[in-house]
Amino acid sequence: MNDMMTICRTTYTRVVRTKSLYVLLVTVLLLVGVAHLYTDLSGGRQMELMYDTGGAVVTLVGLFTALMVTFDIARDLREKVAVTLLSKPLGRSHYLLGKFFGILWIVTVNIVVLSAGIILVLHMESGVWRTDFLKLAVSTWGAMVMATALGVMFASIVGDLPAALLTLFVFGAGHALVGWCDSMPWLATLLPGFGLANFKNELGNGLGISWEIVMYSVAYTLAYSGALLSLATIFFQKRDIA
Amino acid sequence: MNSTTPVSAIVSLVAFLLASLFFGSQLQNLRAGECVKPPKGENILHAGLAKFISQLDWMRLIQLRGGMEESGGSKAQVLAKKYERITNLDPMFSAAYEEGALDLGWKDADGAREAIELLGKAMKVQRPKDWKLDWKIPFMAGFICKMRLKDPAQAITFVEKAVQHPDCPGYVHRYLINLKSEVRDNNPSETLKLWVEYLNNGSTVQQITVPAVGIPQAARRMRTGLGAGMAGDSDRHMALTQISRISEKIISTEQAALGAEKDPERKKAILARIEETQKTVNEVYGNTHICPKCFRPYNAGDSFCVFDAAPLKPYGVCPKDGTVTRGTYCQKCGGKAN
Repeated sequence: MNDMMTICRTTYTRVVRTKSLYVLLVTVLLLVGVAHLYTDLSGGRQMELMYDTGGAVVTLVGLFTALMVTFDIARDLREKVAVTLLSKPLGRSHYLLGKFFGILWIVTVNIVVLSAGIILVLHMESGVWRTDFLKLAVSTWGAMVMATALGVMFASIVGDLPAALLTLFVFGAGHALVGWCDSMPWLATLLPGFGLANFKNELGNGLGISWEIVMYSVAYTLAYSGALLSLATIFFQKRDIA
Repeated sequence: MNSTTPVSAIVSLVAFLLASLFFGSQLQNLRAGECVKPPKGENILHAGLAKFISQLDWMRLIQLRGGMEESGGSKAQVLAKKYERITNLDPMFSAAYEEGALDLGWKDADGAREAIELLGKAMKVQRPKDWKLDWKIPFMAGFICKMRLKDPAQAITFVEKAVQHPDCPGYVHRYLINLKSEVRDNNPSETLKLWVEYLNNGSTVQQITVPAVGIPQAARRMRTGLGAGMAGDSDRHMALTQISRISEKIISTEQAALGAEKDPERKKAILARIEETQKTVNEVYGNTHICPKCFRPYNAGDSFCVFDAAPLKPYGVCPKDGTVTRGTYCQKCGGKAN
């Protein structure tokens, strides 16, 4: 467990040192903040625009942060860091879990910082605390846990770029296929149902959804992430990394 | 399975898949009750950002629309496709349905049909049980049907959906009465029944508080006592005015027919209709004093109707000194008002 935490902390520290991350966070918050200037451009729908931009920004930042795991694992393999690490009494599953939790830590911090900033910006513009944005943030976080696990799984099989592209493809497909889940519920087990954890349409239109459904979406994404990580472990065990 | 395959990973894989199956099916059940059906227009490239993309498309549409001098012909087709795309991405984009219907429905009959199709799409959105459709959507569909397609029967089906909404204002209810009256060839007796029904079932009409300026005092008093379920003064006043107007029209027409009629049976029938109308209007007004000719309420002390000069039976007058009393007893001599 200590080994896993060390890898997790190292991964987190290395990414957090990247200054561009902070620039990105400030920029996207500014992007949300200036959306209120789009009164004429949006036909008076600037508040909805701000909310939807906020939701999109949380998703995009979370997704791109999650994709870092594919590059990080590939870099470790390329630079033989993984070989050095795995020559010690460290299980491959621990290595993958360490990477997963390290990136997930950054994803979580990013989503928390962004969501707090967006709720503050929305409050400054409307005078109302849009706490329903928390539901969007929590459900997006769940989706990003699944995206990170997906990235780990692909990175354990293929190189960095294919892994990243595959993760992006499955992320998009997981949203597009949600409509099919009505008639084929098992599809959400075969493929990651990212769309099931997406409530942006409902929340963006002011339709209150319950915390129960948000929590179920998080439970689903966590369970599916566990399955993906188990699969990643199986693939990584078989992979020749020497 | 070979020796390098960790059994624990396989066991956890199966366990997690079963857990995801359970939570996934629970989630889908909850989604069916709380969420709209996922948009048709969502594809892989949207990656869950359909709502945000619909906002971007909306802004682009506004710029495009602003640059057009008119929206007929081929431009109407372009606009229709754009509205279609926006509402595919966000099926609850009310502004796109409303603006789209106004944009498309006012040019020609084809445009009107496209507008109704767009509004019909909004009405077909599978929505959570707690979410009510904006009354403006079916109302606009009904309005376009009536005004552009000259189809009041079809318009009624839409406006009836609009009036079911609790926020629907009174004028939509009255518009529905006018439509129903039109499909019944504006038959006064049928129209009178519709207005009486509206007055009696007014609890569904939105509350509107309008100061009763310029309305006779007696009418104001009368209105506050009438139609316990009826909503605001304005709605009630309009309904009563219509009832009075239509009753007057019915009775004057029937009286004219009575004068020209020779057949005793037909005369009897005409008299029965007059009596029925008078009974209806008296029931509507209750104890309120109304002019026997135009059926409008009159004030205490009035001897002639201010609308048609018909002689009235004064009330609220002290029999001793002729003062118009402010209550049951005369404020000057204490005598009981008649």
